[in-house]
Amino acid sequence: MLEDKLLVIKCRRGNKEAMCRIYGKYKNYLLTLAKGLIGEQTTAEDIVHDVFVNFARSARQFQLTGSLKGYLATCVSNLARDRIRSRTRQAEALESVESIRSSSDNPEQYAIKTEQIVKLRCSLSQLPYEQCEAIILHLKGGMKFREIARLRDVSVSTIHGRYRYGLDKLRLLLNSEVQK
Amino acid sequence: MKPAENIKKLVKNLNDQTSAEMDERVLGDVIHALEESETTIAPKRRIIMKSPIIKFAAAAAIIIAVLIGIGHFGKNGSSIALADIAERFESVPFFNLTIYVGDETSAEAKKVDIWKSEDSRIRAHEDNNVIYADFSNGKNNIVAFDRMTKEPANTMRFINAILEDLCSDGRFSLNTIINKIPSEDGITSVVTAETAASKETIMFKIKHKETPEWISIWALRDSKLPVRMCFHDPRYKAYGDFFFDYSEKKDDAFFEPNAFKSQK
Repeated sequence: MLEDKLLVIKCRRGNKEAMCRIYGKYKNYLLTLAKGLIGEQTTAEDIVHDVFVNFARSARQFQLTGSLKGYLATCVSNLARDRIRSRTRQAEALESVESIRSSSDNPEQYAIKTEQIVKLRCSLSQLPYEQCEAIILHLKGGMKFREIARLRDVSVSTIHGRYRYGLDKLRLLLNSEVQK
Repeated sequence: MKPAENIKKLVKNLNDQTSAEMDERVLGDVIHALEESETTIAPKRRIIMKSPIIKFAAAAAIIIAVLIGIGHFGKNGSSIALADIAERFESVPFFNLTIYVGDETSAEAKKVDIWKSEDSRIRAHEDNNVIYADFSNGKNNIVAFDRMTKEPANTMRFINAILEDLCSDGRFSLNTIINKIPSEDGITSVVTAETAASKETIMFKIKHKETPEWISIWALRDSKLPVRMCFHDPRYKAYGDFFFDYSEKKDDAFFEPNAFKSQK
């Protein structure tokens, strides 16, 4: 936390190294969040790109009132939601699965290591976005239900409900994949 | 039926890594955006600040303003102002500073030891690393070694940030510590100017105007030297304790990285 504060102070002064450090520290975390929310690699990368570029543009006036990690995660979530609204999610989900499959060099290795991940991503992409968001932000983003509720301006019980229904649906989807 | 716990674990284990191409693309655009923000947001300031005299004057003005602000409160009805403490600290030729920092996420406090030589060289100990920083004569060198193997080591970002921020101008200023560590803006106001902590010591309490963070500084009445400083940020349960010691002057070799490397 303290380190982030120091880095933000430096970014406010235009320190490029500090900006690079922030990127290095949170890039994988944010990419994982974005990909979990949007399902598609290229779009997820674009989201992370846009989050950092926007952050750099506003760095000189940036006021850190909470955690930097939480702030960046919120930005990713907001951008992901905007993208989802402007695109057809189902099409992206299929693209996502294809892109993951094609990225594997060794089919056998791929089958062992990424089968569950592919199924999970495919299932996540079939959830309503709000449920997917609650699951990813809570489980992967480490955000509390009340933080997500504040972010989306809804009650904590609504977020908790989305999370619970999302998990149930995810379980059904994953089990149906197994049965196939 | 796949248990919910397994699904949770699966989601938690999602871990995507950026590619080198993505890093290059993002960092290129981020640096460009940062540079652009400088030209679009503060063109006037940049032109003015091109002059080294103005630059110096501006920096001095900021320091003086804070010192006057602090000093104003401090001198109100008391004999010693915080400005006197800050001024005295800057004139100290050498010191040892032990810092403990932590927050709600850390199991225990991180300890950092910093020694300053008369010629603004720094040696710091952090975990298993020995860090040497040289800010004398405009230099800005920071090197680190593993204490056991004496091999070059990567310093923690925390200590790097502290050293670069606090010593980059070749001075180790109390005022800089006050302004840099707890807040983005350094907006401070002295709430309690001076409290008689004891017969020998006085205490200053500084609080940020817009956030709940606070700093307390204890100093000796006679010598006006700060002996302890602590800050607390209740929002994140973050804390820091700074202990100042002026009793031992370390010899030159202590600040020399080559001497450390050649030790058996």
